[in-house]
Amino acid sequence: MTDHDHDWRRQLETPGHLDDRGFTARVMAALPPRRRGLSPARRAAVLMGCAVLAGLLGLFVLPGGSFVAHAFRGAVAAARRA
Amino acid sequence: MDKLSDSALISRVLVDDDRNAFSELVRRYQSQVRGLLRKLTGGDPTLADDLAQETFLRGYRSLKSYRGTARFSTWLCQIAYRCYLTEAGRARMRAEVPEEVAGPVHEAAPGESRETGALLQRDLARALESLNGEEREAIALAFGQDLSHEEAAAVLGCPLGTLKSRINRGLEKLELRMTSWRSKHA
Repeated sequence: MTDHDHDWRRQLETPGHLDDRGFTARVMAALPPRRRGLSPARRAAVLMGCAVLAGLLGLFVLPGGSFVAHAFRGAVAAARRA
Repeated sequence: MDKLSDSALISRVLVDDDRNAFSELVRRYQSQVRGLLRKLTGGDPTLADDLAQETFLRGYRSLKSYRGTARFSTWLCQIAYRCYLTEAGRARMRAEVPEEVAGPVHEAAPGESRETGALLQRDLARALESLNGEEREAIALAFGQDLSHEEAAAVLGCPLGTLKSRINRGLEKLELRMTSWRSKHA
């Protein structure tokens, strides 16, 4: 191989660096609008609220939760007697 | 931000849509992606930059699908290659340059050696342009992109053996062209 061969092969194999020259800024400007999400704290609060609501609903609506209603009625009756 | 790993930056983009993290990823890989697309488009910087921008936009939209099995740069090169095929039009981009048209772009000025960096780079770009699409793609991906031959074959979606034979054919043609130009203008 001659020097010339080495030169063009080296040129081919060398990863040339291209300066940014505003490229990144152009890409960032072309991105779709930022998605509006809840903050992590709000997300946790909403999840917690949903879980509590679903639990209460399950207790009163499903037959398995009837003992709660029965206990509630018993407590009300006991309070009246007292 | 510039000390964070690629995977940490990707997590930030996915969880919080962190634009600074994505901007750092673009900064890290813009040179590699734009360089690859310049080679693929035969040295057209405007078209290459448009395709590179489209590459990063597609990357942003499909970041959720990045599984981390390949390097992030390989994944981006895959998108860049698909952009090149889709946006630029495979048939138009792969049209071979007739033999008689292919020639050195720039004549050496008196006292200027053909081995001078910029001149050599332009001649090489012109020589690459004269290869057929498959050979140019193989050489563009396998050289100067920090990709292994296995990764380059994965990007092109072809077997490793096929990639190697395309590279060999391409290099032989490049050598012929570069040598003949050199002997004409020495």
